[in-house]
Amino acid sequence: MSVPVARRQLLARKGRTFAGIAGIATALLLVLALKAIFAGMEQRLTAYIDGSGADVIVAQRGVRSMHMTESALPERAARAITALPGVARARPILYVPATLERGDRRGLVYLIGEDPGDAPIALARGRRPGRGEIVLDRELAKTLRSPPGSSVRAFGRSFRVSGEVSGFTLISNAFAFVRRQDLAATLRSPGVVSYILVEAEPGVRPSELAERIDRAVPGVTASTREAFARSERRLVGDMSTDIVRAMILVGFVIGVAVAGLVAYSAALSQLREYAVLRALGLRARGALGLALAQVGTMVAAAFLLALALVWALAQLLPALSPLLSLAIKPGDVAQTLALAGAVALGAAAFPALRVSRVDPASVFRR
Amino acid sequence: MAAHSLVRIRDLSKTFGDDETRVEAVRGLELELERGEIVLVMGPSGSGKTTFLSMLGGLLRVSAGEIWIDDTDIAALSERELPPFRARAFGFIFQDFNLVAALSARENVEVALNIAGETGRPARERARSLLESMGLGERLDFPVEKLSGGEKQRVAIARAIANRPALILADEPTANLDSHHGAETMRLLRQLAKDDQTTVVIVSHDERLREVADRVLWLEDGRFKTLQALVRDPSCGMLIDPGEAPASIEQDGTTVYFCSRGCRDEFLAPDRTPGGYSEVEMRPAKEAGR
Repeated sequence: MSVPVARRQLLARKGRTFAGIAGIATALLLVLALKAIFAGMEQRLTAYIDGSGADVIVAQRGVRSMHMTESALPERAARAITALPGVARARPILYVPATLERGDRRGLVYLIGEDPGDAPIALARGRRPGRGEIVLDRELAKTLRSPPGSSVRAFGRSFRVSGEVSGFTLISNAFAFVRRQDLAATLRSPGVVSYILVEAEPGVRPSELAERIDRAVPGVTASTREAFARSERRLVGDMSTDIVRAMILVGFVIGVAVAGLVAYSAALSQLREYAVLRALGLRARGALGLALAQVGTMVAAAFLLALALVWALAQLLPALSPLLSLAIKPGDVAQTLALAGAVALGAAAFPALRVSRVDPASVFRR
Repeated sequence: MAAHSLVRIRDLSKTFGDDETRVEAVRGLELELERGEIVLVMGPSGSGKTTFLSMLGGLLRVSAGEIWIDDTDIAALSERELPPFRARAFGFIFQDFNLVAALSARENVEVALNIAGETGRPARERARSLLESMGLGERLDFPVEKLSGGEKQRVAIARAIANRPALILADEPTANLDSHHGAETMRLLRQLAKDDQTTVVIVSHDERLREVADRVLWLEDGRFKTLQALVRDPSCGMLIDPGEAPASIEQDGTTVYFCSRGCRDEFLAPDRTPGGYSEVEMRPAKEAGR
């Protein structure tokens, strides 16, 4: 039909239509925002690995991630790896979870011990840590009120803040950096490292190098940076899957309930008009199409609104709550679009059925 | 079967319900309608007028009989075949106008064209030209809710004739209009029938429509009755069939018939005001059913 009947019918009752769109958009926004929050977490979770400059990450045998994991390797493994062909550089690091304290303020951190000159992460402020010094993530420094020059305590000893990095804060914890020898002495574990970050010589493929290290060095597992980061992200994925699934279900139920209610009340109030159109010769499937088009238009508008809102949230939220960062991934948008489609179908089913069964002879009833 | 008749109805019946709830709304109707003819169907409420109109318009399935529109028996059409046939063959005019409130005047006409398969610019132009011919050129893009009753009915008539139907079915087309707009609607229907040879079937209680009708049919108890045979109840004014009148009296050598014993008692009451309804139906020549 060249007359946009469905759109006109929606616009004729703007209040109800916009309320419906807002309700569905809220449901879709819940899902989109949660997915974006987890995607943002994933990005920050692998920020250190992504910015480490390593092509291959070597851990204790069987270990393929950092978070919620422990890895202990003899320091000599780094020397053995350095001696392998194709290796440009091998940098051992220590990695331990810790609690930083300043007065009555506390912050959970992943404490990374690096050798001087090996630290790949750019500083936002101050200088690299010397002996007895620590570099904090900027947001953590704010939480602890520890600007450069102040001190924080960890493992029963004091560290002086020498600088700050940016973008290494997760929701519940952050990254902090110290000298490896300092951390080893504090932990009383000399000669032990957690991971070895390996850089390949030019022309050497990281996967080849990882296999070579696996074969040549006993007791280690070598992963390419991409594989290691993927494994890290999977951890977040494993933690968030049930939450996201529950939220998708909630979003679906709310979306179907709101869209269904609006669509059904719209269909009921328009039954007479549908009967008239049927009397004029519109087939049942034409009436069905009109009802579906109304719901589809509403859900499509709601999806676009939700997308715009989550984009705005992604811009605003880091300023309001620096611990959160939202990352909008095309895959998540596609999944939410599929959810919106399911919402539209679920919501349209009942009203469409009602409309398709309208009796054209009812036009003569008063 | 007369070859020249547009509509031929044969032994048409409609029954609702079963057993104790069984109601015969229409019984054995026979009717032929010529091209360009205006037929007014009258009758008391519940007489089967709406059922008859619904079946004639292909909106309600018949229980028995045939409805031939030209060479098509619509009673034999399938559910898939009926809607496109309705779109091409019939134009509907309703008491409440039944316009789509969300659409403009032009879109209400255009949508009927769309349903019949005519879309885009040709449909828009046809809708515009029809409305302009009805004096609604200034109201093309008005929301129909902002139109007066007369304007709404003109839009409804434009919609009814948009697809150049052979038959227009009008249900109480003047009921919601004042006398001026009612007369205007009557004039338009008359013009349609005489200029375009469109057959118009009107179901109404409005006596004014007799003026434009070529024939008046009286439908009562699901059957067409000859108007000459009907008489008025002198108490309530209702037209009744003397053969089925539940009460009657002899007065001054003639029989007076009543629709109920209550009306008879009222008529015989000593304090009854003289006058009231007494005349028998007056227009036999024009109102003979075929």
